[in-house]
Amino acid sequence: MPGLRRVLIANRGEIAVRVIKACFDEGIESVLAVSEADRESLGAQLADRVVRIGPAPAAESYLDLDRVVAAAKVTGCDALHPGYGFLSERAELSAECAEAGIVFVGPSAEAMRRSGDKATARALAKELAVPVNEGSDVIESEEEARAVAAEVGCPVLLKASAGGGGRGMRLVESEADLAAAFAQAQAEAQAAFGDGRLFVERYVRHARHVEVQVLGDGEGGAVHLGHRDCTLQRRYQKLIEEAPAHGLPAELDAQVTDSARRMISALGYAGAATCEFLVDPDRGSAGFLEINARLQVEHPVSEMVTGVDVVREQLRIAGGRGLSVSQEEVEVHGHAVEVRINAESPARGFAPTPGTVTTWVAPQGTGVRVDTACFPGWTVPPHYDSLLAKLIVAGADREDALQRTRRALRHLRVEGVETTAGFALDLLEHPAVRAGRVHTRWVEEEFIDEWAAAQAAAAGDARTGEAA
Amino acid sequence: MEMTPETIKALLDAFDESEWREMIVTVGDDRLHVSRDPIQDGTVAAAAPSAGPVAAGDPPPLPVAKASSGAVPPTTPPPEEAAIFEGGTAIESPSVGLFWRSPSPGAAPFVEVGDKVEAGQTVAIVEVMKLMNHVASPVAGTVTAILVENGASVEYGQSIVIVDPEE
Repeated sequence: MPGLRRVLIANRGEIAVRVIKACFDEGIESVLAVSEADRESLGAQLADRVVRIGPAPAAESYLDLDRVVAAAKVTGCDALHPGYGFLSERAELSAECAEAGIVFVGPSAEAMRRSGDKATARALAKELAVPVNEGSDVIESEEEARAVAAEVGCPVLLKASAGGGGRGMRLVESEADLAAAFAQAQAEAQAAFGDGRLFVERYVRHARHVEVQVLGDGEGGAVHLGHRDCTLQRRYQKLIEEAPAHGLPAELDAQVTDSARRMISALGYAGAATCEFLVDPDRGSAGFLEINARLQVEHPVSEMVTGVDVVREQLRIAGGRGLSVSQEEVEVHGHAVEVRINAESPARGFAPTPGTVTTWVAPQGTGVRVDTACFPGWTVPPHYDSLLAKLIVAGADREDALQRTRRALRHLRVEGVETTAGFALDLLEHPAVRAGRVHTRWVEEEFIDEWAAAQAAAAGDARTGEAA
Repeated sequence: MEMTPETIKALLDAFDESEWREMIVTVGDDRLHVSRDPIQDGTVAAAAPSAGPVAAGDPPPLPVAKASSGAVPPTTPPPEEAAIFEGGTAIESPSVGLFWRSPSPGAAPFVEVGDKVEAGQTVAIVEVMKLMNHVASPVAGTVTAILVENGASVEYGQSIVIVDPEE
């Protein structure tokens, strides 16, 4: 099979650069769609060609489905890579590409609809006898929610069927809170996704977020690249990710990887997908949560421990050349950690800090990788998300990888914009993180207040010092 | 020496690399005049009536050499070169897409060079996946240049039509 010739990249920032790199490696021409705000971006400088699609606001550029497909058409592209975020999980984009005769680098609209909707994905899991976290199917009313909550026992989580990123999600500690939470979650889901359907799940305290990277060939074949741990989160936003998920009992390891592979296989899914699981360390169980039908931010940690290039595999699959590896050939070696470096101020409630990066020196070292679109002089536009860079570090084992990550973070120099790098370093130095004894709410419940108090005290000391 | 597209290109390259403000080359009846200064006499090459409509597939804009006018605008100049039309208002494409001069194939163009337009009058269409975006002139005035060929692709922000505003 000849593979792809020219790919339109409908995204920006570090992931645009990442896809350009994979196109380079595969010998494919890259055309980057840019908004007015991204004309001078690193991706625009690296791509073979740049096409301006619209003004800075994402709604009129990166989120405008027609413009993105038109950009691929007028530049003679034979394929479109959506990256992550923006339009990447819109089944209509996959459908419109197919109609326009452009290969969508990702699943068919049908596979995306079936995997992207939480309710249908849960139904599929049940069909395949994949353990699902206790809970309900889609519920119609508050009374139904009450019945499920009584059955599985509070606390429960209300979740949006179409949801993601914590929107339309509410924790219900006791039945008395249910009515208000149901109304809020439904309104929020309706506003955010145009779909107010909810379901109820047993709330697992001290849960770990474990996910499996899978590549599907579109014809029922699927290969997994092992698992990742993304437990360190703040308000459902991942901060630090690792591969593999450390200390997972052998039966859970086998259960999640096998389940993920069977689901992607059953969907006839083409490209990269992630199956998320909630691991309950107290019970020693894992329940399926959802499928992310796209490339994920944290894909590099899986690449570091398996040596498989996820984005190149996406391009191969889309070009009809199939996967380059079989399951038997995939081996996990060592451990990798990814730290998200955001242009945000942790001291000011993680408020975004757009502005010009005056100094940018990324650490170097064996097993150190920095995925970024940042360079000295780059102005972080205020229109998009705040991800500046991903620092990815591999080591012989978890302890080695964590130590090398801390060392690399100390060698990162950024001036001009405030970043989350210092906060991430403090996190990685915490004994609970080093020991892996954290859960998905740990940062918010046990770390952040303590951290903020220490920061305030240090600032106070500095002022006293100046006065004296 | 003949004034062929190749020699014109070579001369323009030489001009580009030089620090000259202006260059006039006369070969037989052909005269090439290039200047870095804003155009004084208000005419531009594409506006010269003798140039006529440029159909797709035609050789590079030869009429330029014969028309002894201001400069050589490529069919779709990069945005930074749009500044050459000083005094005129550059109408920019509202999106990436395809540029159409008329409401439907075979229909009369919305405007021709030399036409008077009202503010708000449609001068072209930019098609985005079958969605026809009418592009209106923001000012009343005279169309002095149409910078893109019918059916060609355009990017967001690209200058497509120049209108010389009324005093």
